[in-house]
Amino acid sequence: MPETIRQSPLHDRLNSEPLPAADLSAARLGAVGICDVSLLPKLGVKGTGAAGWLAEQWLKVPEEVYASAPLEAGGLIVRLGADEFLIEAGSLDESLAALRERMPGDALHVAPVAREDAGLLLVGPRATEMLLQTCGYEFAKSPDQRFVYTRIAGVSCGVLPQQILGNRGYRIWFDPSYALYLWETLVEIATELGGGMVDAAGMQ
Amino acid sequence: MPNRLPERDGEWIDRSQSVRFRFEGKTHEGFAGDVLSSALWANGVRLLGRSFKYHRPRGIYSLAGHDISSMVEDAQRTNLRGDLLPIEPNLDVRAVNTAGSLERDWLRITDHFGRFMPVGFYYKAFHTPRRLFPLYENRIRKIAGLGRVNPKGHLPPSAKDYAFCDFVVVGGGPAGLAGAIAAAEQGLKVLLVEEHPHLGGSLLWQHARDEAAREQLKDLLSRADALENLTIRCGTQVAGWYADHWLALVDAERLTKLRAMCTLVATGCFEQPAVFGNNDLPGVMLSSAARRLIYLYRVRPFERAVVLTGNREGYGVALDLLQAGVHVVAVVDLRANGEMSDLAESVAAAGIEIFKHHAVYEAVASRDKTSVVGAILCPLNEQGGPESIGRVKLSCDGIVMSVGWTPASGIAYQAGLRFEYDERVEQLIPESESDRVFVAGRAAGVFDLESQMEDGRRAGLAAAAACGRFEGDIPERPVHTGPPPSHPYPIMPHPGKKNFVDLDEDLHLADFKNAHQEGFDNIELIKRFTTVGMGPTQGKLSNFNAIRILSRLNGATINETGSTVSRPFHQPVSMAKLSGRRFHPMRHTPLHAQHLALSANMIHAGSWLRPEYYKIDDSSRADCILSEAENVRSGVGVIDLSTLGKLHFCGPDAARFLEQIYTGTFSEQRVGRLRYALGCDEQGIIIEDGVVARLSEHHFYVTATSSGAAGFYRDLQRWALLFEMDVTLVNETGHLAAINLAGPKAREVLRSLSDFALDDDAFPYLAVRQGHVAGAEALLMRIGFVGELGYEIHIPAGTATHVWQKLLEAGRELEIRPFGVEAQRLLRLEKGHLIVGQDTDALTHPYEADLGWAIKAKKPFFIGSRSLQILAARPLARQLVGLALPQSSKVPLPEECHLIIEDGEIAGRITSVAHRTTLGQPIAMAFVTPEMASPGREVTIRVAGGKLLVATVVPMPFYDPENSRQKVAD
Repeated sequence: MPETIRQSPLHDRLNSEPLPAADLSAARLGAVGICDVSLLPKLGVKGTGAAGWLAEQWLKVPEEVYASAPLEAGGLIVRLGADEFLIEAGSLDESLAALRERMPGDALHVAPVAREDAGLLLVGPRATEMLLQTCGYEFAKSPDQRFVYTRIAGVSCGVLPQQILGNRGYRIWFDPSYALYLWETLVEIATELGGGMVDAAGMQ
Repeated sequence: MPNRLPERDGEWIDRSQSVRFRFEGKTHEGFAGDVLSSALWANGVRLLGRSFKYHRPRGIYSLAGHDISSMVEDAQRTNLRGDLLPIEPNLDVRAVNTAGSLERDWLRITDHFGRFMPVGFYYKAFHTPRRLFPLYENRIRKIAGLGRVNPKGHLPPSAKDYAFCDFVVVGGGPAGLAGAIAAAEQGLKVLLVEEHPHLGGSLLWQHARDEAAREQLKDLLSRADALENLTIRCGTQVAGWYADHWLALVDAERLTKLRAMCTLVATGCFEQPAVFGNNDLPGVMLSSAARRLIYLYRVRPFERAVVLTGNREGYGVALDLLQAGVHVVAVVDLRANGEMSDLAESVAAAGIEIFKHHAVYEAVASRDKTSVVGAILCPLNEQGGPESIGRVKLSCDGIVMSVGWTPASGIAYQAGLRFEYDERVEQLIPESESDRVFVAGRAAGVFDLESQMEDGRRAGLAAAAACGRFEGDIPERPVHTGPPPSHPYPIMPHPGKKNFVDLDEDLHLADFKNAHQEGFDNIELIKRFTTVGMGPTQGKLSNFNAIRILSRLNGATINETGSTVSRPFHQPVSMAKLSGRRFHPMRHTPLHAQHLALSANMIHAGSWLRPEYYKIDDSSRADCILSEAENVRSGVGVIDLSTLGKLHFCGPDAARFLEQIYTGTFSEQRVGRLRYALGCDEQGIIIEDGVVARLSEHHFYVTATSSGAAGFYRDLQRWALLFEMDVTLVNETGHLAAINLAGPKAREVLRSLSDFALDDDAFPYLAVRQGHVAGAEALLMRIGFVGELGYEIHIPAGTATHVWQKLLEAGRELEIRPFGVEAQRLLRLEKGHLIVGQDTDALTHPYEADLGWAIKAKKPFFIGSRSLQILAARPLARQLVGLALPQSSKVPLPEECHLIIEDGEIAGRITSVAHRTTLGQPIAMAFVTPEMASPGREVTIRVAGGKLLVATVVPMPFYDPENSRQKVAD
């Protein structure tokens, strides 16, 4: 059986140009850098029994809707609704696969949700300014780690404000079929602001 | 620059930066900070443009953005206002709406025919004969109008952004500054928006001679600067106020959508002109324009001036002019008693003659009619009208009008406030304020400088209280005392000359009298008939005089007459700003790059991009499509179906919920099996179809149409709430890819890649299985939309490229080929499968589409069940049938939507058609009347060019009616 190869929805787009050198990434991060993190494994859990089942798995389940919490093994869990959760691993390992394996097979009260979301990080002092050109939500009033559903450049997105590299940054998830469009749109604006695409390595 | 005055503190020009620019082909020089009009005036150029209708010469009038007769255009842009346009190197502009040149505009001849073109003459003169109307329209549009859009021009898209604040203050004058500071001091996040490049408002020109006022401005600016929570945006217009406290801000770079908790309208007033003969000549200007020239741009407006006034300000202007080196010939005061203040004494002491209870009756034009050479004054009678005796002619090159104000109230009106006329100030003032929208300063009828700032502070504290940041007492609004700042009727009839009321539309006093005589005696009616206030300034300098005139004609008060409605935009906004950066979200399947690599011709399908067909060397589109279809029929093809809606229904009530959504039954559906699902709305109209796969007792996986999935999922969520069912809905449309492997050799390709048992017993037709394909977790459905053995492979989007490549690799020896949307449409048409939205419309119910079999009417309830019961009892109005089209005919074959004609009447339409098929026979699907639906019946189709083509009704499906191809065993 051949081995499965997962690709980011931006795989071909990102392969069409070389990754920016470290100094260029650093310069872009001085304004706003955009980084593709779509390949981080994700898992959705939904259903009236979702919260209880996740607690049984020894996960720290956020109590409030739109709250998020870090996972011990890295990554985070976000409560998207009363009965819906998003879990994103902190690295490319397969730790979520085991969790997925343990889910009840009948989907009676707990249903698995395929989460192939495109994932972007917006990082840098002008990240909020870039969002203001694309989104009608006032992120300045939104606390860190508090999830927000909104639309960015016309695309429904989930946004988690975070402190990244000493600045207010944003982790964005959205339907992967919009990845190419939203990437092009955000990179165009970021470039005008003095930023642009950065390599994930530049985020370290 | 012969008219440039010496340097002075507070001027807006930067004398260290000389700027050369071109106007009407001639080079001029100004300073950075000049606008076009000020720079030209400084150079002695007074002819700045031509008027809209009569092509009369025009110069500076307001110098506040309302001089629409001095609009210019360059190679890219048009309708740029000369009184707002900053000069810059390489600026090269010419006046709009001229024929020949500005000076020699040959259309100025129309001015001589004014008497033959009374208001409304267009409506009366040009509607007959009807055939000539296009000619009239074309000519009128060329003669009257503004700038011309250059269709070849290209401006880069401007950005749009959002902004948020607690309190937005519109206007950076004394009231606005005081209000912004007061609110910011209470902790509000304040945004102060000023349309001009500098803060200060009327302090910069109206009070410029007053040293104390200048110090007050410095103090306000210093305090504002110290407040970190007070943001200032100069050079920014507030173009409109919208519901929920959204405001549109426009600056040179972008349009900002601002959300504010509270709004203060501190926009001041528009100075209003007087109406007298030739009151539009270059050299006749508002006092505020003269003061702006003097104090902001340091330009001497005239050599010799006459000041026409009806208020105290006129005397101040006379002194300003005097100080600027202008010889003030006279102050002409409309009021019987003139001015009683110290200002009048100063004017008299300066030797300026004062004519009380007089008016300027006429501005005397130069021989070429491009400038003022004198003013004819007349005494006034007891009613305030001009006397015919005792007239005086004075020599001058400028006439300054200072007769009153009207509030810049557009934003306040849009925010829902109402205004009423107050005789204490002879202007409109707000009836009241709302709890979050305030008006302060001159816009509210508060004219004393200290009172303006006091009023601003009041509004700032009120806003702070509304936001919960201030709990003290809010002071009362100061009340105006003393003579009114506006004259109640600064309008002098002049039967021999044009005396303009609206310079935008070239409307003069007689136009209003004529309109009134014709019965247009209501302000809204007279606006439409005369077009007053419908020009680019939207009546900022004309509406109130029009109201005064109509009031007098009707013998009514101003309040009885009322005013017209103010709508956004308050100021003109360029189309480039409105369009801004375009956000048109486009969806790509995870296989998009693969399609491009395979030379796909991509088409838009709703919000998706899909391969229409795959190009093969020099083959035509039709050949490519047919070739792809034939390959599916004879071998194996693969198509990207990732656009399909992909939904999960989970939970104890999942089956019951499905049965209420769709027309079919699902409770008894076996796990691992598929069923067709048809969805209707409450009227029984077909809105959706798809396939329901039962994965477990409480888990169903459902496909939905590509274009309808998003809306359908929203409806499902609503129904789930309304039905109060324990069902969990999941939309995985974009998260999963789907690939259909179809054709008699499909099983052979799949076998080498999957861990499924694929023999017919283990995986029969209409079964669903879960496993792996090419190592990727996959869900397979054996269905045959295209009429062949087929497997729909649903996989995580991230693995789609890998699986697609492996399928092509595995099928290489079997000559597998991808096929596009068009080949799929052809194949399914041959199979007689309809596409919802193409073969159905907004009125199609299942019985018309031969889908009655999909309705399980014995269920207690499903959406549309009641309507379908009624429809089932009625005779059909139309039926979907198959048509065999002639293989060879001189008449062209029909296209989709061509009509079927019976006895000269429309009897149906083509919904799908294929000119070339794998059957060797052109076919179509069409709606016809039931009488025409019998196989063998001939129908007539009106095709391109109106020709008629005869086709024959045939049974569907056209291909494999026994369904043996889909069910083919291993």
